[in-house]
Order: sequence, then C-alpha cells, then structure tokens
Amino acid sequence: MSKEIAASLRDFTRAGAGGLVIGLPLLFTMEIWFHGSLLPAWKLLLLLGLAYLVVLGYNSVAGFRRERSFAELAIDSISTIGLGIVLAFVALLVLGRIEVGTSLRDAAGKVALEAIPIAFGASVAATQLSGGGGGKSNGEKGGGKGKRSDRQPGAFHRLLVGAGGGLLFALNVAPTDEPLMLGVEAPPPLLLTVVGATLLLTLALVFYADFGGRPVARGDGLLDRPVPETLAAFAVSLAVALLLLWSFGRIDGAGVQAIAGMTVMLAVVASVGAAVARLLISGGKEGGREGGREASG
Amino acid sequence: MRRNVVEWAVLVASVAAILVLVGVLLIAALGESQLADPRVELHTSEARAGALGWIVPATVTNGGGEAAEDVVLEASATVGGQTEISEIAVEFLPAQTAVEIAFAFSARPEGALSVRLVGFRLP
Repeated sequence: MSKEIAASLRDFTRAGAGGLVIGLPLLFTMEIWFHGSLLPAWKLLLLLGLAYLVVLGYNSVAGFRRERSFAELAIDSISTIGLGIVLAFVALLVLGRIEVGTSLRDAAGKVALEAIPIAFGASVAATQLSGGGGGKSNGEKGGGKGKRSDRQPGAFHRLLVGAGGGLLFALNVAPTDEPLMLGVEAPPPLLLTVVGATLLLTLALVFYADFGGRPVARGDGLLDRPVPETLAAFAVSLAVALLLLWSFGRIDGAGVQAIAGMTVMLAVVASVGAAVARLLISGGKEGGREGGREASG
Repeated sequence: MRRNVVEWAVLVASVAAILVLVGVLLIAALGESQLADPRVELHTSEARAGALGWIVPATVTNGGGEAAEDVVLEASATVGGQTEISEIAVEFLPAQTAVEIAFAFSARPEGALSVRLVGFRLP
C-alpha cells in the first residue's frame, strides 16, 4: 500500500470516527428518529442543503486538504456529507432503527437528520483533531504550500463556522420539549437576563478564557473586535435557533412571545456551539503557529 | 488535484448515497400532500390460543404520505354469544410503514372479526 493511500485511509478513518463521536448523542435520541419520519421531506432536504453549505464553509477555512480550488472544496464537502449519510445509515441499522419493514421514506428521514451532526463531526475531526501524521499527509497531497492556513479566517468565515457550531449544538436539543418549556414559561425580564448572560458567557469563552485557540486581533474590520463579534455571533445563533424551531414545527401556532422565548432559550445552546466552533478555527497565536507547522509539513 | 483510489471510492459512494437519499426525499415530498391513511390486515390464519385468551395477529400500515400518532384501532367479534371489543393504540405510525400488532379476545371468536379505526392524531 502506498503512503498516499495509507494517508487517505487514515484521514477518512479519522473523519468517520470523529463523525460518529459527535453524532453519537443524536443517534441515541428518540426525538430525532421521530422527527426524521414526521418532518416534511422538503424540510429535510432544506436542512441537508444547509448542512452542506456549513460543511463547505467550514472546509474552506480548515478542510481535508489545505490547498484547493472552490470546485475541489465543493467535491470534498460532498464526500463529507456522503460519509455522514453512509455512517448514519449503518449506525441506524446497527441500532435497529432501520429494519426490513421500515419504509424508504422513514429510513431516508432518519438518515437525513442523523447524517448532519455526523458530517459536521467528520469535518471537524478531519482537521482540528488531526495528528501530526495527518497534517503532514495533507500537506503532501495539497502541494504543501499551506496558502489557506497562513491566512486568518475572516469575520464572515468565523460567523459561518459559528453558525455550523450553533446548528450542531442546538440540533441536540431543538427536537426535545425543553426549549419549548423554558421559552414559554420565561417572563420577558428573565429572557433579557438570559440574553445578557449568554453574551457575557460567549464573550468570556472566546476572548478571555484563554482556551487553546483564543483569537487575538485579526483585522481592522468592525466584526474583528470582541464585542461586535460576540453580538454578531449571537444574532447568528438566534437565526439558527429560529430556523431549527421552525424546522421541527415548534413555532407552528405559537404566539410571538412564546416564539421569542423559545428562540432565546435555544440560542443559548447555539451561542455556546458557535463560540466553541469559533475557538476551533480561530487564528490567534496558536492558530498561526499551527498553520506555519502545516505549511512547512 | 489528483485523487487516489481511496478518495475516488469515497467520492463515488458519497455521490451515490446523496443521490439515493435526495431521490427518496424528493419523491416523498411530491406525495406528502396525501394525508395519513391507517389500514389493518388481519392474519386470522395465524391466530392462536394464548395463556390469557385468543390472539389474532394483524399488520397496521399507513398508506398515506404523512405520519400518524396515537392510532387507535378497535376489533370486535362475538365470543360466547356476546360482542367483545379489543382495542389497541399504535403510538407512532410513519408514512408507508407497517407495524405488527395483535388483537386479543377472551376466547376463540365465533364468526368473522371486524376492525375499525377509532382515530389518530396528526403530528
């Protein structure tokens, strides 16, 4: 077996294993199985399309291989989504959620929903969780120029990846009854407190908690500063939360205050996901060093 | 970018998986205007005596394009000259899916069974 093939096998094994690690909680969530059957097919297709865009955005910042044209990026992202679909199908088979009597529509719905977190996990694992060998092989395959990794992700990319992280985290709770209960029962003052606390938490998480990927000044744009970026990420998280609530039929027939409450409560989870995702891809000192290492590898 | 055999294999499998999934969902999307339509097929030839009475297996299917929840079915039969009713609820019945159930009576019914749909909840 050539080194190149061995490296590819290692890359895909890591991507698959990482995808299953991230997707495991949702593979064991009853509400996801049910919603796979209940949600209209067009909504499932829409969610899959959004997942593809998020994976594409994430891979464009930190993908399988560093040096790629847009077409190659799009093709690699297809592989990531496909990997998610195949793994979701196999996992659901093994768990007995897809059986001989399961209709094609039912199976497709479950696979479509479960494939989303697995694809996100595969995308993250293929990059952030890469060991030294993987990084080297990536460099070799991509020509080793490391052009992408030398560049700090821009504000738009950080927010796009943040949306992906928010989608992944919020997907875990959106189909359950808890956001509905929390949102409907919370009076407006409490919701405002939750918004404030979330903003403080995510600001501290990304900029002041000194995690490994803590970003430092990355540009001169408005969104390159801590407070504006935190506010923008929260706005994105609200949009992600509302999208998920709508997708899972949570806002059908609900009043404006209930919708606002549910959205804010789910946005707490989405915001933390967005913060973690931004930390993962953030440049900063550590990211810059890592980029340099990969470029030289 | 040059791709090796592993990358090609994963790409081809991925495209196939996406095409099948999207194809099934697209076809389903076209048929989802049809409401849920639970149906029951009795398997009287497989009926048997159990410890607590007479068991009649059946299959409930949803012929519609939408799922149904809390599907309640009622089978009635004459047992010992009295009309006896057996009721069963299926918690979740996705579109185009079959669920195996069984009606039970205190003893072997005389004559044929009749089954009716009591109702179901739209998700």
